[in-house]
Amino acid sequence: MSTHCETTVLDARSRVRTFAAEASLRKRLACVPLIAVWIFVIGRGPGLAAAPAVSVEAKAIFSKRCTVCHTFGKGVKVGPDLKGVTERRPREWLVRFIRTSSSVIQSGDPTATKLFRDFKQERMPDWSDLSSDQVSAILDYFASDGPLQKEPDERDASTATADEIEMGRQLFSGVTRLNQGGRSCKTCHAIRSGESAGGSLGPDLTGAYLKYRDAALTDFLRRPCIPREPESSASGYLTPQESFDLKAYMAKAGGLLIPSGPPTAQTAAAGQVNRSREEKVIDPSERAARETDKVAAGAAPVRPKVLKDEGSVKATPAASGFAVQVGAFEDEQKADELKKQLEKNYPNVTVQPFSADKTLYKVRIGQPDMETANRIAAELRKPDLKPFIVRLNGDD
Amino acid sequence: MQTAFLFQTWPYAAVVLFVAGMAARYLGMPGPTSAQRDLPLDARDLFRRTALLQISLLLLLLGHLAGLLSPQRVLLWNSSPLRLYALEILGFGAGLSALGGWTLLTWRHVKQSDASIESQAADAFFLSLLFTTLFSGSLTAVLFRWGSSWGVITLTPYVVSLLRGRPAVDLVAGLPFLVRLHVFSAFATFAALPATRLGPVLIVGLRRGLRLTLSPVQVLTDSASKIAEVVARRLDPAIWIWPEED
Repeated sequence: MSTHCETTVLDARSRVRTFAAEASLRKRLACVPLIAVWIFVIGRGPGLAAAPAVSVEAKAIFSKRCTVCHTFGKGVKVGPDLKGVTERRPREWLVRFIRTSSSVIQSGDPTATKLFRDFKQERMPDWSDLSSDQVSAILDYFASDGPLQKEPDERDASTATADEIEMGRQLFSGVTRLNQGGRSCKTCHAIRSGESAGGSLGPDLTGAYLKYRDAALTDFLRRPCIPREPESSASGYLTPQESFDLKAYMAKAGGLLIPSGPPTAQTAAAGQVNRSREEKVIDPSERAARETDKVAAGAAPVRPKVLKDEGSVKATPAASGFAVQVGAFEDEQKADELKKQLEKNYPNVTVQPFSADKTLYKVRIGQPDMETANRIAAELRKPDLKPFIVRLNGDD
Repeated sequence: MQTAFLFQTWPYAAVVLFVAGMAARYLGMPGPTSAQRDLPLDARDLFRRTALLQISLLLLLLGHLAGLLSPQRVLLWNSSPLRLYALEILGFGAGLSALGGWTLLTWRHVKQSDASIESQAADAFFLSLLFTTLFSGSLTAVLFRWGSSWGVITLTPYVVSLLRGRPAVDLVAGLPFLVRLHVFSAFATFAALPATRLGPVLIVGLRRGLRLTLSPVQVLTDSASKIAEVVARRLDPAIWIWPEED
């Protein structure tokens, strides 16, 4: 009887266990999300770059929020000139005013009331979302005349040394890693220089310098071309020096002749950025303009138009050798005016049309050798004129 | 709006469709194990001798998983041009052989028409999506070189952002059309899988895999319950009060 009972109990247990196993199996399907969690934990992707320097953040805040109404050393805009503001006002007052200007004015503060009255009763927004540390960093930035400091990447590529160009090549190809952990340009771009080919997700950058020119390329290199990690999460993806090295390498790859050796006083002075030249000479394509945020809402699209037949173009005296490019204009008349001025002092001055997204008229002085071209470029270099040397081939 | 749907909503919708489809197939499967075994036979007939496709798909899957799980190692590997070329050639070769395997499988589908209309339609839909995924992936490898490098800085963070529940659509929205097509169709293929005759195979496979994976746990729990039983039996006061009669 006892044996029979045990057998019955075991059968029942076995059935129960089978059901239990089936049920537990279904429950254990809940383990599947654990795999997803594991993927999430393990595959967090490349680590984020180190936190940016405080001054970088202050500069970004200044550009984004302050420059709309204020200048730094260039006089009154909508609000007062901010140069020397840290000496004119106590720091605590400035912190309070930046974060809650409305309350300070309403409290009857005499300085705030006077400012409010003097500047057409325009009230500054309350930047209450900025932390005290951020405001403090901005004030430090003002105290050190930060907005007047030029970044290394604002130098003209023609002033680059051989070492900087080589560093640009190494950064481009990934031989030297970028300081803030970004990926090398070669991941998505190629430059035709006989080295191992780069990626083709982005455009070939061999002619990028000649296409965008110095200032536009500087702006462009200050932000990642497409959203990606970790660059998109970090506030900067290239240091200014890296940006300059890459620009110099692209300029060299694009055919810009850069004198080797350390920068002389003359070239260093010529490297100072002058926006007026950009306004006169740089005519970025629509794409370049979009990528550098030069296109504002409401800007009209430009339809490229052939202004002159190829046959009527003046022949280039120097079909090979070198040329000093003095300027490039959308307006042919302006190009002709510059040509006339230059012809007073130099032979072989030409105006050549260049059709890309728009037709540009390049004013060049043809020269048989690089030394003469360098001399002429140095002679012509002025704050508002930055000539550069190009190598001519049969097509030029 | 369109981009938000395609790369923000659609991936989650695809997962929901996949899970719902699998659950429906699981619940719809007839009872005891013998019938469960019979169901996939139909699929086994259809998908047998597709080793080329299976191995290629496995290779592609592993490659994509490597990019997802260990992006830094992939980048480190790609830092040498020769290794980069080898990886890209391997990936492209796997894509091409998968397309070859797909052709063989599709040809068999066209010839074999004894299944129900619904099954055939579902299979055809799935195969079309699979083709789109494979073709767009292979073409991407040709037209946009070094996908193994740029993929881990754009697509990997995108997939991670999906897993985190905060899709970073920007990471994929700026990529070329072919890449976006590849991403979208991959999710669509995944969503359509349970509707095909491969669905039941997947369920049986998943069940076996889970049993195999969880078997050590099963052994442990069984042993623990046996020990608990013995201990309980020894401590049971009924034995002392009413000792068993011989």
